[in-house]
Amino acid sequence: MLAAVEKAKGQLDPTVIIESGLAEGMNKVGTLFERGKLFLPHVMMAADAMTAGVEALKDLVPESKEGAKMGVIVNGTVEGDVHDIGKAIVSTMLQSAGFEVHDIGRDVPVRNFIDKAKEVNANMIGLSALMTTTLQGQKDVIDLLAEEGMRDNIKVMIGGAPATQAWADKIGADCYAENASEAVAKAKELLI
Amino acid sequence: MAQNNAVAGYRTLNGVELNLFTPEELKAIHYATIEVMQNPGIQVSDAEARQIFKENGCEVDEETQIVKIPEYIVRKALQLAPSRFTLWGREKKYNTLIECGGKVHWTCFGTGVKMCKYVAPGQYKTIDSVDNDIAEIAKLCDWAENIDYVSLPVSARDWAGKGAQDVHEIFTVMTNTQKHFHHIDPVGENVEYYWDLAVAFYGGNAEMAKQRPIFSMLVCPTSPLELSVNACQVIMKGARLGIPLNVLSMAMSGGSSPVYLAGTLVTHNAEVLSGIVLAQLTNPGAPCMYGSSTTTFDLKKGTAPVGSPELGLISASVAKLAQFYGLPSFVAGT
Repeated sequence: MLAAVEKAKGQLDPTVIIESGLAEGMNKVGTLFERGKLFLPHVMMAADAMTAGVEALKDLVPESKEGAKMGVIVNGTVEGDVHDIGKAIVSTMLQSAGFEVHDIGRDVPVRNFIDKAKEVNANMIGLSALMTTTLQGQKDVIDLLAEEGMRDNIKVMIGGAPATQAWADKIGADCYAENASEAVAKAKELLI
Repeated sequence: MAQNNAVAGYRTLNGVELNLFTPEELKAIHYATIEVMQNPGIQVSDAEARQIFKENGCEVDEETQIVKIPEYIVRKALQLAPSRFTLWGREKKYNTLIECGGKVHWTCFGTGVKMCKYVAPGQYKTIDSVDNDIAEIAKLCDWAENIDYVSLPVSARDWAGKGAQDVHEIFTVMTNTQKHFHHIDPVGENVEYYWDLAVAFYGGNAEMAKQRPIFSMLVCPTSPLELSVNACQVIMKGARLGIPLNVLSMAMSGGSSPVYLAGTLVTHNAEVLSGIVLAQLTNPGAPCMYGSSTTTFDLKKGTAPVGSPELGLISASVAKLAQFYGLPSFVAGT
């Protein structure tokens, strides 16, 4: 794939390569996965390939073009919780849909979500929790956002086995997604 | 003619046997496990636990938090781990004797997050579980003759966010059943509170609480190959207090462990053994069960189906592995 990117470098505008080439391909991969034609290992390989491709073109992309993105998302599993496979899948799918995703891992202190969101100018924060005992962390992040006066400028999406729409409503999250595909759909709804 | 003729040297199979391995194959898994415990080793996120491993002869890298456990320490620990111990209920008749290769015991499912409530014939409503559901299920398990002890069936979601949810859960079960309670997903910081409840149950007699454990704890390593801070804390505190520990791994083959089932058994084995080794190094003779909920990972849907055939194969394999090590086993089932 890198060979193809190298070949295209001289002939096409880098933004075109990324948007009409890599991102298009990634989108197709996402669609085929949802249809059950491709599996997770394929999606993850494709995401890695896309990252490598974008990396190879980084120097050629003009600074001003950086702003034309679908959205910046900070994703993580809340403090005290080490379950992150589902969240990793969501990050990959969001990336494949064209979002700029910063996955800050698992067992992430509440504060770190806020700091990272500030650092990358995030449009959305995704919060995952798999245990009822750590679910509270999702509320803590939303409360801290409000305290910092950031709540209105940033969307919050929650997910994870014990999370529900009712819980999302209760804590004031913008949306709840039951799986990775739904996460992508809802993110597109809220951010585009 | 004698009235009671018997056939000599007649071997019987008391029921169904699913024997997946020869002794040589089990050894192969064991050797692979030992290799994995050296390379790459186990990530132990808790500083106190790393210190215990270090003091007992393991190679510990503080930077990467990797602990390499040599075979002789595993063997030593397994020598110390008891092959049988009793889970106590309120009365002796409710006691469960956990034994390696012994009788098969049954517990209820744990831990769910929703309850399916009956509304009318053919009509059901699925809602979040609450503390009262735990009480009712505990009473039901109390009545059910086929259930030997009670595991935490569902989560007390009405306590979520209010603090000490897990302590309320153990209290609710203990006060609603005469059988032993198996706590699932205990919180390291609260083990002392669970212990206080047990001691209070025995009228303040801590010695009796230790000799007659009224509750036990299920603790999970994190796949692949990690013992988190919470897991280490639960193991160390539980071992010191004599609370039986079920070191149970839920690796997902293709997700958090190798896609080949044998490979999954190896990493699963390394995770569980490292937890049991920590328990024995902390307090020799700490009662431990070799646990598994390990299953496959659905690479199409990104879920962990516990009803998959692979879970059955893995559970049967785990039982054999546990017997190989002389440990009682606990596996995910129906």
